[in-house]
Amino acid sequence: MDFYEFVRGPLAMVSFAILMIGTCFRLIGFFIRGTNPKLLYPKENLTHGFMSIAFGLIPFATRFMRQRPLFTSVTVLFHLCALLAPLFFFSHIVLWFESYGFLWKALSDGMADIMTLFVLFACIFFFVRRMVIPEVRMVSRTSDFLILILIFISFLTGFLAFHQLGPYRPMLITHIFSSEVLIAMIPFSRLWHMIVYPFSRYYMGADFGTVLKAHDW
Amino acid sequence: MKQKLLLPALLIIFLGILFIFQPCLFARENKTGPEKTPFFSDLKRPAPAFDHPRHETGLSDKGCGICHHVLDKTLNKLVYAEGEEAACHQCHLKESSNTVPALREAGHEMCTGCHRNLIKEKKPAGPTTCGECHRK
Repeated sequence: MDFYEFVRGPLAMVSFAILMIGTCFRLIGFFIRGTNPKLLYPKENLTHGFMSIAFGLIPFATRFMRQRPLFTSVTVLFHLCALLAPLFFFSHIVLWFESYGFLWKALSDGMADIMTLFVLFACIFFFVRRMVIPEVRMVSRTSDFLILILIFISFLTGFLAFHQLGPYRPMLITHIFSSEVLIAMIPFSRLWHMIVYPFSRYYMGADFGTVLKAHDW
Repeated sequence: MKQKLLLPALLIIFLGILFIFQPCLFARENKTGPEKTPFFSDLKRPAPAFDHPRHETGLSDKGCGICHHVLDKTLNKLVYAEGEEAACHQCHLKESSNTVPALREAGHEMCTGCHRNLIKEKKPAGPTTCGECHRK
C-alpha cells in the first residue's frame, strides 16, 4: 500500500486510539488513587483552586512567571503558536473539510510561517534550558528531550513540505508520522499536562490557599 | 555574565533561523506567483496542472463519464451525457451552492478521490498529497 495513504489513514486512527485509551486508563488510575483515605484533601472551597487555574493561564500573573520574564514570554508564545498554527493552517483545514465537512477561518500562510519558525526557535530554547539550568535538568527525563525533538522535527518538516524544499513525499510523511507519535505520546509523557493541567493546578491552589494560607506560585 | 549573554544569543539564533528561511518566507510576494485563472479571484496554492491526454489514455476503458457528468434534474443524479462534456468550471463555481459543490471541493473530490480508489485497487494512480499537484 501507498505509504502516504497508510500514514494518513490507518496510522492516524491508531495514534488517536492510543491517545483516547491511554487517557482513559490514566484518568481511571487517578480516580482510583484519589479514593486513598490517607491523602490530604483541601477543604471544600472552590475559590483558591479555580483562581490558581486562572492565574496559571494568564501570562505574568504568578510570581514564578514574573521571576522569569524571558522564559515566560517564550513559553506563552510557544504554546500559542504550537496550538494555533496547526489548527488554523489552511491546508490542514482543507483536509479536515474533506474528511469531516467542517470549514473554518484560516490563518494567512505568512503568519503560519512566522509562528512555525517561532516554534522551532522555542524548541531549541527549551532544549538548551533543560540542559543548562541545573534544577530543570534534574527533573528532566529522556522523554522530555524526545518530545522537544519530535515537535522540532514535526514543525520543521511541515515547514519544508509547505515550501516544497527537499524531497516532498519523505518530508510530508515524516511530518505526519512525527505528529502522530506526539499524539500517541500525550498520555505517557509530559505532554500529559495538556489534559491534567487544570487538575494539578487546582489541587495546588486549593492546598496553598485554603490549608497553608499562602499564595501558590 | 552568563545570564546577560543568554538573551542576545537566543535573539541571534532566532534571527538566524529567520534569515536562513527568509527566501521562502518572502518569496511569494516577489514572484509573479501562479497564473491567475478566471475561476478564482485569489489563489492560495499554485494551480495544479491537469494532463488531459494522459487521463484519456490511462482511463480509456472506463470512458469519459468517469469524470464528465451533468446533473439530471428529474432523477436528481449525476449522469454522463455524451456530447455535452464541459469543463468543470462551467458548473462548479468559486463558492458552493446548495446542489453544486465549489470548484475546489469538486476538484479535490474528483482528483484525489479517484487516485485514492486506484491506490486501494492497487492500480497505478496519480498523486494524493497536496504538494504533488500544487507544485511550486
